[in-house]
Amino acid sequence: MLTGPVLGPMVICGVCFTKEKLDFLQKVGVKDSKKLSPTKRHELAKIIIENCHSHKIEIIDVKEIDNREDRRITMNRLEVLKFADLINALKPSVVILDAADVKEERFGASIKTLLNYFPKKIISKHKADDIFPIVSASSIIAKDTRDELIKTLKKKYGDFGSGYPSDTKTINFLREWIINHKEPPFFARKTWDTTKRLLDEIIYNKKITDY
Amino acid sequence: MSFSLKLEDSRILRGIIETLASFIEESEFKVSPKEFVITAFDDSMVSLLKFSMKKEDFDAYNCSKEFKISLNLDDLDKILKRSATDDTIEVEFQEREQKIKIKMKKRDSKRVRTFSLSLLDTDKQEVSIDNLQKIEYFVNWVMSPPDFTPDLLVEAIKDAEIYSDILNVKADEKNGLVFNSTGQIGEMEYNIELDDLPEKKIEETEMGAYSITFLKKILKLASITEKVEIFLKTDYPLKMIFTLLNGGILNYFLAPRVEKDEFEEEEDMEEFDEF
Repeated sequence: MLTGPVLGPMVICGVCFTKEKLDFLQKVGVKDSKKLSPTKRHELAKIIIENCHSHKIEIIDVKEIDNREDRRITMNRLEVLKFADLINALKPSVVILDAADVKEERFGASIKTLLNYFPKKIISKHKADDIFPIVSASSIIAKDTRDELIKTLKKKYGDFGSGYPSDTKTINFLREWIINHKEPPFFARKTWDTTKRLLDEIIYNKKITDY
Repeated sequence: MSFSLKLEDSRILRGIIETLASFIEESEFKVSPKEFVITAFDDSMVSLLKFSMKKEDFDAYNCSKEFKISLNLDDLDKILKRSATDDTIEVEFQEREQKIKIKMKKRDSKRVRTFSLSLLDTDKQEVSIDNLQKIEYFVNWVMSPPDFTPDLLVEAIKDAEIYSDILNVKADEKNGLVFNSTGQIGEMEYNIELDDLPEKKIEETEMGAYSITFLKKILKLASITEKVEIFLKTDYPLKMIFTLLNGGILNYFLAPRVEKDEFEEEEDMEEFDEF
């Protein structure tokens, strides 16, 4: 079962700070991105980008997420590959990861094998977003970037709620779209159960109103 | 103006609403002096159901004119899930308040819990079941205890689900009933011979393919069902009439799957258009 939003891309982000400047994050109010409002996240994202040593945002679009099935890789693996790309680009001496795997050590170890340099230390932890302000900082930027992308999509195609399968607004939007266009929108993850199920009901089943 | 109804066994209402909520977001309830009726399509318009329960089947029923109220089923389900099996449930509606009140009380107890739920403003089209009721079926059978409980169907579907999302059903005079599903890893077949069917009319060969997802949803009712009568006709909806434990009746119509070759033809046409 795949979790995460059915609409919109996945965004990941890496942020680097020098050791001396790490205090700065707490001073400006950086904390677990889930505990911040979208407006606050937007505000902080700007401050973090202006003050960090370096940062990199990676947008993994829906097509790439869906194509992983043809490449026979799991969502977990795709995340590992993308995280490794980010780290290789930024090359920090200490890497702190928000583990996207049930086994936090395994996540760090998998990434380590893909790096093209030798960092001094790799820390891979669950809930890192809550524990390490620097992880919160990168998560804030990633969430804010996704929020902005979602905002643009909504402006153009209508309000679809949060984009998560648990949101009825999202489901209704997706259903309406498939009824009208006979296919999901380009920004829907087609390998998600939600999309598959709706497609199946709408396209491959007859309508009761036909009788 | 107002109405009120009472059920001493909370299971029925709970079961109905739980089933409804699994495929419909909101629904209209029609309460008239004679009966309580819910008619609804699922959100993808693949199936239609009509639940009706007569005044006499309630433990108390007061209604002097017809009311139509729309409610969010998810919220209603959450409220009803808070009831215990031995709770008495009372539903009250005051027209001027634009909300319903649900009261739960343990038998022999004075403690009452009251939940209110606001009505929804909807412009949903009236759902008509008339055309579907007119379809003539030549094959039907009854599933009822002790030997042929509706649970048997639940089990057949669980078997089928291993292989596919689609259940094929076939009935003919020679073999009786055959449930089957086919997938990449293999297939399953469940045959119930004619003699083994206590109550049936199988005069023609009829078959159809139906969505397991939808069958599973409606069969959540099995635990509160006394008997179910099933009607099968090639190229037509599968019809199921559930007689519930307290006398309520639920009619369910499920449209068949699009035949694979039918669909491929359509696809070919589309491609053709592009050239």
